[in-house]
Amino acid sequence: MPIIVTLDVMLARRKMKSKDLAARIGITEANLSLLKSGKVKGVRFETLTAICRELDCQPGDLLVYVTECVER
Amino acid sequence: MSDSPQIDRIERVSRRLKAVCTVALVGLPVLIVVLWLTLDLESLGHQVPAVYAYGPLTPTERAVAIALTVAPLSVALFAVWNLRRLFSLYATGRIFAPENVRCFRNMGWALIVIVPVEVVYRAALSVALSMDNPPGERFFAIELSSNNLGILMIGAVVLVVSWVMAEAVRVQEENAQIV
Repeated sequence: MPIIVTLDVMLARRKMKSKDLAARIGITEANLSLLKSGKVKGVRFETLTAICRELDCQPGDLLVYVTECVER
Repeated sequence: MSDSPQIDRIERVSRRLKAVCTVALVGLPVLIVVLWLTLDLESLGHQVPAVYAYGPLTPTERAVAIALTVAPLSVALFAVWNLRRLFSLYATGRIFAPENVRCFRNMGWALIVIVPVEVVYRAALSVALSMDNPPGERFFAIELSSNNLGILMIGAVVLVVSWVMAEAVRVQEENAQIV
């Protein structure tokens, strides 16, 4: 998958636990865990907005595009 | 109570329809047995499928008719059972689930299968009920009507709906993976 989710990095920087973020943005811990591992089909803008608000970051801080050669 | 008034309505009405199906599951076999045990051809003026019999139905004829009815009745009850299962799922808010698809598919096939089963049943019934008739007045009748075609069409429609529901389940599952 060319899109890498770096949410765990931002959580570590902000010293916030996953379950706290999940509670603040209104999604389940399970879904947040799936999002962190990139095992989701997509992210709603609503969810992305809420994460950026709580972690005081930009969408680019959470999602990284990698090309095929970098993945190898 | 869900957040959607539409879902609430589906759940509410489905609970009632599930109850209706439960009554049908129990009532249909009882009704059919009682009908065959008490059927009085003469008072009904021969306006019933047992028109092939002359005179009152004998106990043997009644027993054979009940035995023959098992086949179409089983298919009908299978369809009603699946309908009840479907309403049971709707009553708990499960609108798009693989089990719903199975219910639709089973009902579709039941409606399609019951048509040839009914044709064979009525043919067998004509033989069984006219067996005691005088020679030359025994019957072997194959009945086909527009009703048969209508039920076949409905069965085909329900089958197609099951395919549509399968696609809806796939879309639902995909949507569930969007957080």
